[in-house]
Amino acid sequence: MDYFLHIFIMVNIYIILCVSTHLLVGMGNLISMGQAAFYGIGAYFSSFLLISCHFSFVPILIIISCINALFSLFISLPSLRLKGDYFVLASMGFQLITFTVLYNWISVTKGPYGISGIPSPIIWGSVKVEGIVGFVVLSSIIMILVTYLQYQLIYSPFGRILKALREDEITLISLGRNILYFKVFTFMLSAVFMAWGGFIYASYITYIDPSSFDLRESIFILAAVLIGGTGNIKGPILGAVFVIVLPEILRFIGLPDSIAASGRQIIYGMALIIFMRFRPKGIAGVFSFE
Amino acid sequence: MGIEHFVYQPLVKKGGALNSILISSIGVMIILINLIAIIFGNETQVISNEISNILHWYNTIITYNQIIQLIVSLIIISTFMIVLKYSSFGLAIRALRDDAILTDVFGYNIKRFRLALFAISGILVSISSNLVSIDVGFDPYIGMPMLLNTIVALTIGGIGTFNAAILGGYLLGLTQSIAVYFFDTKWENAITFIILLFILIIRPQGISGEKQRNI
Repeated sequence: MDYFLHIFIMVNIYIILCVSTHLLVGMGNLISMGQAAFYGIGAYFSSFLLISCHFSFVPILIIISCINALFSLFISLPSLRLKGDYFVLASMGFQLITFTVLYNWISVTKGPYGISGIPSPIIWGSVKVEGIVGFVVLSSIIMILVTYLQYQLIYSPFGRILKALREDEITLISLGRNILYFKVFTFMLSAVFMAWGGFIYASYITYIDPSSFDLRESIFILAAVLIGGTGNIKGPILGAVFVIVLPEILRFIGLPDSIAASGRQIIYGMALIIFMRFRPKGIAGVFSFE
Repeated sequence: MGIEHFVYQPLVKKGGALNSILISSIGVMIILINLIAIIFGNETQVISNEISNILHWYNTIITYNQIIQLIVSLIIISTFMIVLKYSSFGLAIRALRDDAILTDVFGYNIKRFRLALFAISGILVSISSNLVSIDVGFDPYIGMPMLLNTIVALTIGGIGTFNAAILGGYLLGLTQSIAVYFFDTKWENAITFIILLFILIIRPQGISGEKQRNI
């Protein structure tokens, strides 16, 4: 039973990550390889706050949101002026710099040794998150909150401007909108929600190390969003469920252990290629990369 | 070449944007790396276990393997530059880069040229990876960091011309080595990417490329 609850919590975490990435990649058409870096920054800062200061839940959320917003400004302001392909490179550069710093700055982040023994968050001073059921409840609440916020964002005037941005940027400029502002703001929003996912991940697994937040993870989140589909709220949710549940189902097929991990990666690679070729909209999306 | 034919060409025909091709190529890379890992195993392989012979020259120590690396790469680079500048094949490739549609109009078979280019780049990459493997050994996962270094080198040099890529490669190599001399080796990757970000902010078209800035 715990196994299914664990999968449920991971699905919740990845739904949070995917809908946040979808705001940037699906709605804004800004492919970013740096999403796992924000996920990691959120996880690391929330573990610092949880371990050293025993903050409670809401203050931690606010603090890591501000920190991630600052980091996102640091990368987005210079690179969003560049044409699409160069922005991908800049985001990849940011991802790798963040990973190298997390990995090598051992005095602060303990590098490859990781940070262990992260306590559970405290809500409202006396209610503590107990055991796996507590995390099921917590992650579901946060997931519903984030999904609701993203839903409102997608179907709001802001979302319509993002749609216009992705379809025809030049017309939007000619209509007088400041598209740099919108791109920077979208990037900041997606970074903030990635931090929330990182917070839940850190306190649930109680151990984090830099290898969970590397380029491979960025590609994984991107793949989940693209496979699920872009343009509406169902897409990234389905994508997150797909990429989390599929390996668990494959576990029962019985690939030998030595090739299981590589085999899983091969299936992701093939899924990427097949979806780009035959269904660029993804499973449930409305927008394909044209 | 099979990959180009089966994966990329259909996307181009369907009018897919650069983004789909990028993502498909990431998929291809993931599949290939993991296939190699499955077939050949995950451990680092070495070609020979002996201690290499060295050349001792004042304070510098170079292994014989590295001398071979140097000579072979110089030969290849100069051959390539000569071919690109003076042969008709090189001329056609440069025309393809400048304006693909016009080259098609003039009667050159673009698909075949693209396939040939893929083949040539495959050959060059395999030569360079052989050179490196003789020196330090290899495992299925060395491709990614090398690819990233390549991307940074290309961006620094500028994407337009071949000479720019060579210039970028040399600059990046030198800067990396100098930076590692002053800071710790473990920051090597971070320094590489800080250089990348720096160049992207200051001069996104690289040292001798075309203008790429927008807004």
